Amino acid sequence: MNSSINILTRRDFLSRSTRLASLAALSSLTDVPMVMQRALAEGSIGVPGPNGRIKKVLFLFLRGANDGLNSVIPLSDPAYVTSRETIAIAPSPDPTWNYSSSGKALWTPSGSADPVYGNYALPLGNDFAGLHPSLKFLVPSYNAGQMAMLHRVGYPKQSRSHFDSQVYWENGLPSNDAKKEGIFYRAMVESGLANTAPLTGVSFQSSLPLLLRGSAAAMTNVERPERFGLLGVPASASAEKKSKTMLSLANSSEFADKRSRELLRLQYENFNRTLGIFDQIDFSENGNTFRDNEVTDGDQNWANENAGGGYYLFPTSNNKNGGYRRTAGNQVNKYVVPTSSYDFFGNLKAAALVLNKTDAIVAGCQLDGFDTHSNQGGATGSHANLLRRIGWAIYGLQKYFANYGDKCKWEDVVVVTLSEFGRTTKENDDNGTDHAEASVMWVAGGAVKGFQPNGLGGVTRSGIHQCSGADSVPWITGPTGTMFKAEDRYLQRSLDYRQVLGKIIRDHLGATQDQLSRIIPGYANETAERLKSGGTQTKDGVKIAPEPDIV
Amino acid sequence: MKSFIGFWRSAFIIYFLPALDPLRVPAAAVGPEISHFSLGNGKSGIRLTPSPAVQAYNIWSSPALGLPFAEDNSGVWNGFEWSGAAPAGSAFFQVRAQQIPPDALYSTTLLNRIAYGPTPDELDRVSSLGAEGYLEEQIAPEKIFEDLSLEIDEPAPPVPIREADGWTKLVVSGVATSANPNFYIYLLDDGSAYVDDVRLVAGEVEDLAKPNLIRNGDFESALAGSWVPTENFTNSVLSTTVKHSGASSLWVKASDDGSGGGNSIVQTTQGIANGATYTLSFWYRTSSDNLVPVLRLSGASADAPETLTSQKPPYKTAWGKLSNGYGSITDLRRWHLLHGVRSQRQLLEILRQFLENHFVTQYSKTSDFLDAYYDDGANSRAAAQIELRENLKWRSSLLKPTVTFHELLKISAESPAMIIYLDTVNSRGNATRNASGQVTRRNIANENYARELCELFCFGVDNGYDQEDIVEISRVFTGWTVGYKRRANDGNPFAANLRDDPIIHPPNLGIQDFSLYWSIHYREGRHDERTKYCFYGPIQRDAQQNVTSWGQPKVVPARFGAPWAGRSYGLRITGSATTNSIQEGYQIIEHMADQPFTQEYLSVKLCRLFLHDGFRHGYDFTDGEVTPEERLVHDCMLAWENPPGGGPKGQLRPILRVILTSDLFRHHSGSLQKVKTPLEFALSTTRALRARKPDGTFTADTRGESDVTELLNDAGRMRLFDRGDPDGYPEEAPAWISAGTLTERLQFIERSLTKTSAGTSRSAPNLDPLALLKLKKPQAVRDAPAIVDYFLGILYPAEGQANLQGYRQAAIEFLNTNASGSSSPFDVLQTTSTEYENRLRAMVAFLMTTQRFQEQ
Repeated sequence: MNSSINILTRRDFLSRSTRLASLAALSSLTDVPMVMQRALAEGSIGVPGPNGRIKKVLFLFLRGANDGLNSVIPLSDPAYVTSRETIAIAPSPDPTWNYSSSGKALWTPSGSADPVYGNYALPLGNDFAGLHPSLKFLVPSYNAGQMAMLHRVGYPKQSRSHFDSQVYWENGLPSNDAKKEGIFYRAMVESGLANTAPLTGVSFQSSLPLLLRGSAAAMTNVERPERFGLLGVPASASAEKKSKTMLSLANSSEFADKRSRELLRLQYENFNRTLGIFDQIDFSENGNTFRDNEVTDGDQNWANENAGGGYYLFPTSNNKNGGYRRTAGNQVNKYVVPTSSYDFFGNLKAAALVLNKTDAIVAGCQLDGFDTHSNQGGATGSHANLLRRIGWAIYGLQKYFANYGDKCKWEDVVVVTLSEFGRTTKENDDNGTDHAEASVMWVAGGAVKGFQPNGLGGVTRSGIHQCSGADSVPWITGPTGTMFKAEDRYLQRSLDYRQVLGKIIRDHLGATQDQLSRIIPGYANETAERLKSGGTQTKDGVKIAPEPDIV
Repeated sequence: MKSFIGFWRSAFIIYFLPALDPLRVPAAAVGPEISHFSLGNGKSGIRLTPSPAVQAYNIWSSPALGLPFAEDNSGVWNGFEWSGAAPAGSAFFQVRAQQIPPDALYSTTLLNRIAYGPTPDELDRVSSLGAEGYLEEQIAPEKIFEDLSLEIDEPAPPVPIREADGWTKLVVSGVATSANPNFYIYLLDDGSAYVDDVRLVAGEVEDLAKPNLIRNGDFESALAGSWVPTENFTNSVLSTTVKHSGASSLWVKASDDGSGGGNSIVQTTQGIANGATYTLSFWYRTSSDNLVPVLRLSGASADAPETLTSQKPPYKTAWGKLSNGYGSITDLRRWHLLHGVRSQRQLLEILRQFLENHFVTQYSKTSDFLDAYYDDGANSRAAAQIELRENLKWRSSLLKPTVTFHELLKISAESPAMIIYLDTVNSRGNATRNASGQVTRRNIANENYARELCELFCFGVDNGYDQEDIVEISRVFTGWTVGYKRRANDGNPFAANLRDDPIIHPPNLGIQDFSLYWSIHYREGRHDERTKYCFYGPIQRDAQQNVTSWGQPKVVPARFGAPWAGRSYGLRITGSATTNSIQEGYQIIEHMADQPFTQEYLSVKLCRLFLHDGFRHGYDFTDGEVTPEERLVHDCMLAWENPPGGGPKGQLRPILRVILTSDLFRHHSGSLQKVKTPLEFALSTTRALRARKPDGTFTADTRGESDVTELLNDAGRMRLFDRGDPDGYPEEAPAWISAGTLTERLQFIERSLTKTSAGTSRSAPNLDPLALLKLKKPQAVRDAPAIVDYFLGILYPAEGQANLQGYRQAAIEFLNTNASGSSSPFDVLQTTSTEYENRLRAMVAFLMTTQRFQEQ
């Protein structure tokens, strides 16, 4: 017969009691022992819902400042056309072309120069706004009521420096470029999982963006996910197995307590688990087999297996790019996205795979090149080519999570775009646009509250925010209207980006209001910032709408 | 059932240290504890919580408390679990731990913190030198002899003599290698250039009195009869529109690059003697750095600098390129990293990196700024040179025994890299006035540098300043810009700025004379001439931003205690618009350099660098609650304020001595409490296995930059000299350690220890553990436990053998297992076999991929 006594050592006791005693005075989980952070976290970020799945976010940062006025177009503002001589998008000549009524999702108007994309702005059904034709693949999620388009998004005292403004968008602190801590980083720290889960926030680009950076936890940037195949000394599968066995043996070794050892133990554990998880995910080009299940652009061959079935959702090569392969002579004009976007779609695919196959909460990547100072183009051209990437990216994500959803289905994820500012209302002499103020954000996902035409549940919504004269802060048309309200030159904001991200982080990811006030400190100062209720932001006296009802 | 009470007592430590200062008992001198006790089946079982730096654990027992304890040899250890005979009655157990001698522990911590990790040779050397001896050596780097062959001066290329119309003259001397050799003119790329007035004379100087040995060198006659264009140069003709003198010049037209004989414009010389020295002079005009014509004698080449050629010799070393203005950022990183691995002045290297990171600047921003002045990407070389010179200035300051923080801060403030990085270069505070002298418009100074001067370089965030101070200080630095100056004028803010000199920088042509320096340049016309009220408050301003009221000078808060609390530190600076106004900047720097806020913030940063992450600024030094960390910061500040050896405030060495001789540092509270940054990880990896062989080569070496770039980029984006954010790279472990970055760190180890066939390149250092083993343990090359013990000893010298049992068993098993995972004895393998070397390398890689290797 055995008897045993478990002893809480004096050292354990001392360190726990002093840490707990100090906890009362601390506002941040980062001062708590890592293994206890989760237990002490408020809210439900990263907590599986009744269906066993976690709510997630996929972010796309459009770097260089996207021209919101040529993305979600104020068609009913006569000053739009007169301000943009060469780059304005014309409204459709046929008023019955209305993309907000279902059934016309992805057809291309006849007479279009491009066999996939048309020439005309697509009316969005609120009798004011139109969509750039290169964004036509946003229409399926829009028509399904799963897409919100938010116009006039900015922040007080807008900086027109890319560098500063990107910092503000990412750290959630307008005018503070010293705080090197990102919004999503803080959200992950608040989840209590940042140091104990293998993956919480992940980016797929050349380096970790500020959105996910901070000093109390290291989020993961993956430039090449296939590198997680590891330990090839000497290079052979069995030797690798031997190395991994040894490493896990070493990791179970016990050591005396030191300041960083808990962190190292946890992160090695995370690393081992990530290896195991990534082993199960095929990040390779061959593994990119995800396809569409419907007619995407009027091509009737989509279901033909011999022709390769539906379009690939993540175009990472010519052969996976729209109707290119199945069109006689491999016509390049059947591409749905420009050929230079394959790296971006590779990153997007990896982000989607990680959200779908792991417990990661936030993942994302960036799209560069929006600084369209010259020869921006109109329905076609450099800006149109960038918008095609956005349109297809959101379309591809919608289909991927709907058709292939595993740990993350379409209703579990919110896709959100960010961009540091908008561009000048007036076109410049180089047929481009310069740095300005407010711009557009897109928010998509199965749980997003979008277009709802028929008053279901007593609610009728257009899914378009702040792009009509009927908004709570009405869009004033004309040459002295909203498009010129900021410094007589720029589109004035009526939403704050922090409201959009805050709404998503609280009402989708599951932060409490207290947590949100730490994640986005502006929420703690409602009298000045007005992020929840709307009103005049005291910093520069601009009136904004209440937090938009998007999730 | 036998009645039993688990009598136990916690640990007992055998110390080699005779006595500790009772007031300063190190916080973490904790012994092992019994965490679990069991009894059953005639056995007693004890489980320990390991304690730091233990060489051996022993169980002692006693039947009753009054009786002496005796070592209990009845048991066996399995990890930290001991299983021994059950006592006959009740018993008391003790664990005794034999710890690493204090000096060995101290030495190892020094090698981990004031050096980029221990090397096998340094472990031996410091063991005989003693920890304090090593510290004293390192703290005075000027006394350490160093010959790294990393800074051999190489001849600069001839300095071109330029004229504003685009013509440039080159003069070179050299030896003929045959009698009457051919003379060639050609280009190294397709394109064209003009050449005129070619002279070749005997002797080492350009002597106009001597006869020209080149016929038709002024190109006043037709080419036929003197010059023969061949292969890619057959289109070359005389030009009468572009000429340096006379009526025509040679228009060299290349359809593709030339090479000399058979592919150039050729003349066979007359009257030239083999082995004699000649001097060549000529004028050329071109549009690009790539199209500078090459003129040379047959047999001459850039690789043989003594021969007669106008082509500049390739530099042999990174330093050769850097010191002559031709080095790239890659050369600079290589130079920096090789010092990190090889230098004997390790503390100096650590401090250079600390300063580089504390006074952070961004190479790529400098390069972008300079883009307007250069062609062909030469701006990036100029940017690298600015980073280099900033660093060299810190180094020469650090070699002075009385170096102060003020001196280091001043170097940073004057560095063109800083002036560009934080936008002072474009900052203006001057006013536009109308005819009657009234201000019609006022420029507003850029606040970037002022903010970071307060927040990041001196005081620390929210420590003794506010936004008003930032505004006032920003006005002080208006007019601080950069200019392009002769070397002798480096650092002279009033010397002529040759950036706009049409000869140095001709219109439509980039700067090509790399012998000049970018330097601080003062433009008083941009200066805000009004009075500045720094550290006054509250401040009121009118619509034109004139200060209308300024309150009282700020006072050092009570929390600092004596001797600082209550001191007034307001600084009112009377402005002017003369050149003297540059002194305002120096005044504020001097004023801020030794304020208690600076003392506190820099002391905290140094403690974080050398000790651990758990230091912060903002302690209340008067509240009676004193942690060892707070006490150490306070001690540093006292040494800053009143250096024990006298002399100016803010001397670095007394402060370093306070930290590095503190009890916190010397004992377990200092040992292994930090995680390596990617840079420290990269350098310590090579050093860990680096021993000098009798032939002068090393068992581990690196090429520097190319070996570690992949790691530095992918394991957290630590780009040296090119940090984007002004806060510098963090020291804190959580910023660097995640599943993703660990992947990169482990792969780096794998790459470094995988044997490659000759000639293959990989981005990793070349580590040879077999050579190390043969050098240091030749008698044990087939003895698996002895091999493992050797490597554990050099990789983890502070951990203690008893604590490394887990690694030890795994590593021995690793050696005795083949690649398929089956048991296979190591001691029968031939040491010359591939299998032997693979297993040895993989075992060392395994040991270096563990958690413990991330620590320092």
